[in-house]
Amino acid sequence: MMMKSLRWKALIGLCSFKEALSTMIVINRWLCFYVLLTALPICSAQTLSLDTLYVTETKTHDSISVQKLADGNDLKSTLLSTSHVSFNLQGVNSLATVINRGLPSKLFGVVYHGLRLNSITNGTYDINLLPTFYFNNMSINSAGNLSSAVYNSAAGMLDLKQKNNGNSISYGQFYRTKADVESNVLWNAKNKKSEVSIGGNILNYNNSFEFYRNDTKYKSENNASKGHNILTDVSHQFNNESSMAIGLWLQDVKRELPEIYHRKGDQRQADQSLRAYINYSTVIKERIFKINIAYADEDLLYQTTSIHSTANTKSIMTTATVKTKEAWQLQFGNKYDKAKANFFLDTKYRNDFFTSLSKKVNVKNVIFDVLLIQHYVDNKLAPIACEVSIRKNDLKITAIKNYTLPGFNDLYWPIGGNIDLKAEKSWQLTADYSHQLHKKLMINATAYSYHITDFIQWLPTDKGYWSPTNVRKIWSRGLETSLDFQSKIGSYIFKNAYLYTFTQSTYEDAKDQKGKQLIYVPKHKMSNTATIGMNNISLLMSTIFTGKRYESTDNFTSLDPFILLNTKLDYTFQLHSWQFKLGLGIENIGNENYEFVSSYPLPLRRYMIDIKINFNHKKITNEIN
Amino acid sequence: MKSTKYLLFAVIIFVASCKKDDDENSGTYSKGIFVLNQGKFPGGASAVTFISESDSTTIDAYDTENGDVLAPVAQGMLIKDDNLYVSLNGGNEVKVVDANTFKTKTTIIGVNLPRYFINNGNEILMSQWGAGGFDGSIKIISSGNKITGEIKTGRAPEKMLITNNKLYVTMSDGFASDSLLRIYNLSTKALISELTLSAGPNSIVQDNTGNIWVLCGGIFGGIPNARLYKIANDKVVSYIEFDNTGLDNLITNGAKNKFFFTNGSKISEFNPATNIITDYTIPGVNAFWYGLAYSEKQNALFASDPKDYASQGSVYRLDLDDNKVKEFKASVVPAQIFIKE
Repeated sequence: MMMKSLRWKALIGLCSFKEALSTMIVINRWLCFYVLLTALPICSAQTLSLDTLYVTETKTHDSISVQKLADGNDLKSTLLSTSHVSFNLQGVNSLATVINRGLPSKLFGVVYHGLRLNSITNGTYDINLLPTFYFNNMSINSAGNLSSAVYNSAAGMLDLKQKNNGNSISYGQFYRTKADVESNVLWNAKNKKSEVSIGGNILNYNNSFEFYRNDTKYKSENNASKGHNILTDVSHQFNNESSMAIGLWLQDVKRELPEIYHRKGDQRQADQSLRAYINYSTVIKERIFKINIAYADEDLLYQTTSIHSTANTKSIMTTATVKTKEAWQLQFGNKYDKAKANFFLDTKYRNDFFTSLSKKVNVKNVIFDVLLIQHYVDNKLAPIACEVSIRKNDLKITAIKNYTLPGFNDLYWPIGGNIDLKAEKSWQLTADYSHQLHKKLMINATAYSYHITDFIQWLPTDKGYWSPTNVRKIWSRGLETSLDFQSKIGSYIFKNAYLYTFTQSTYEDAKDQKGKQLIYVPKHKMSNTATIGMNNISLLMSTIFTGKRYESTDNFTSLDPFILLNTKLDYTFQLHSWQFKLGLGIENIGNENYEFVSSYPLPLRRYMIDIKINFNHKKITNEIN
Repeated sequence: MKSTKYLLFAVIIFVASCKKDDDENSGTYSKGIFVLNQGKFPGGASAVTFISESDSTTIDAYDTENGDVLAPVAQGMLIKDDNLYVSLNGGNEVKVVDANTFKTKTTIIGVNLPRYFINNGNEILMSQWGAGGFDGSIKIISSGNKITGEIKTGRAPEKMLITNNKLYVTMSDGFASDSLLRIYNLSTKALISELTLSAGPNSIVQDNTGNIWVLCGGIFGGIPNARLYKIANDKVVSYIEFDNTGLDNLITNGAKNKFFFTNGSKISEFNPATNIITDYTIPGVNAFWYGLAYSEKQNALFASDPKDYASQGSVYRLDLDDNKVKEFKASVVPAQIFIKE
């Protein structure tokens, strides 16, 4: 841990020269890798025509089930106003996990170049750790995407992508009331054959704010989050047939986790990670071959006065894919997970070999897509997973049989861990409809029905401790609709997006809980995002309604519905090659008292300032997301 | 005429004073069973369920009477004079309500992870774990509901017993593991001695011969298992070892010749004179009992069932005369039970 910390300091230039020198030997291999990453494409600059050769893991489809997210500083606000998800959230920058399509958070994946980043110990991913300034091209795939990389994501996934916006350097500074500050720098370079993006940010959040408790206004104590990220993506096209991409993401975030009502407690968490990927694709005899290797090395420290939990997890995933012009796709892969934690009795491993075969057929404009995946996990054959989709014009119907492997905590927790746990199984049926009613008006609707069986729950035993068992059955069904309107009158651009989500996610097992809504899943959610742009000014207003959420499994206790109003005014101006963008925002204009998790009330009205400076930005554009 | 007026005046005063006394003793919550519900962890609101002598139930007496909710993890309760004290472990506060009407009187702050109370004459002693569950102490609360002093214990003090001007404090696991019984002089508040018992001392009673008994819950799933210690003259006399862990809530009847404790899905009765243990189970109820109380008046046990710790729990009354069972709905995670009869 100490060595890793020095390595970090050396990389960002915060340690003394002597310290840096002494750690250079250790970081040498990373520096070499890093220099190679950044130097490679600069050395060769010729033509550019990427993408066509890239075999993407994510299937793109213009519907609610696949939704591109707007760029923004606060991912939670963006998700809340423009998507159908909800959260488990204990404070502003504390642990935050996504609830999508009424399913528990551990079934929602966060994916970095094919690698699922969710904890291999508990299955969840904390989205407050994401550097959103860099991942400007994220999308949510809600239909339980069944590419082999994310086979554990019945509730969908957030795909982390970065888009190179051309030769520029941008600097961003973000302030929020009570001294929450984030600074970031992003350099993009691009020529005909190569693209480079390098970004870094420094976070310094006090997370101090005002909230209501029993109609009395309180000010939270400071629960600081500090950290930084360094990210890079480099791609290069060698010729018309071959291309390569590599990337690296280093992260170090330390947080004080608040007690209820945001009191300062003694819980602290540190997340340090290194993630990297490399992929190469080439065309041989009209077949596309692609090799992708993604790696994650993560250190987690959770500490209180009396608890000191450390875990180091490593995952490496290798896939080799071949795709033919007849739309056959064959993939072989391996994912190897290793967890060394002081709360396990010894180091734990999982070795997963898999192969998948898919075929796309177009019969009289009806597109059939079939995918079969077989996993071989720790020398045992896993159940076959499969996906069948049919698409005709604006309608797509998808059926998926999927499963989720138990997390390492479920299997190996020293007291109560159950190595006999089975995989959780899911059966998913989704119908997506997307139609352009008018050139200014787009409607989307999705209906779905997802069944989860053998869902794992920890229950008390008569031995005096808790143990996980495959007891629960969950049925989640619902309807998601959206209406997007865009119009231009003179120099004014109007954009309006309405979303409505109905989610009924119920337990189907225990007699006294049958038919009861899952905890923290709102049945109703609505939002409206209206944007007006004129020349170099844009004004955004968002209204978000989140319905009643139950906090007990039998729906005995609940959290109140709430309405959030947010606004943001952006002013952009250009000076030679410099573009300046000043954003002023107000969050929770109506001073709504609201919670995602009980006793963790969220901030009353807050103000934010967002400054971006772009160098070598060629023209002013109305940036309406 | 004048004497008639005086007589009439005296009668009015007498009647009025009688009426006043009646009011004071006949509040809705003057007699019955109080169940502290901890709320869904980590931040769910606590509730106090009240079961009257006629078996009618108020799921949350505090909300009913005050239109408000209690902070999370209600842990301990004490009734002293007209005051009813509830320690709110998750809220770091003690709520003081009227013992008969349940209307809020005041809130005591300046406590950290408060646990259990014990009455000590004019003052109340309250155990608390302190910051991080590692810096425990016994807070001294005056009759004016102010914190007037503190006995530093360290670690995580739990339930207490007062006898012979001594304070016995079980030092339980807290968030870690402990195995001590600390003994303090009540006059000087100074530590007299400490006994090392087994892991997880959690509850303490005295029998009718003056012996002190301490139940140690053991370490979940590990060694050692639970033990019940017999202590005389501040020294361990003997102990009974069980073949499991998780035993808790050692209580006694009024005559102090019968003990009861929770033992996973069983409730056990223990005779301190003979060391004979009798187990009770409730057919059809697969509960991991979380709280226990004994009603002398009803000769019945009340035990709380938190079910999955995330839904509405129940309290069961087991009549020891005829083995009849009655279920009462409580709130989320019903835990400690207190009886006022």
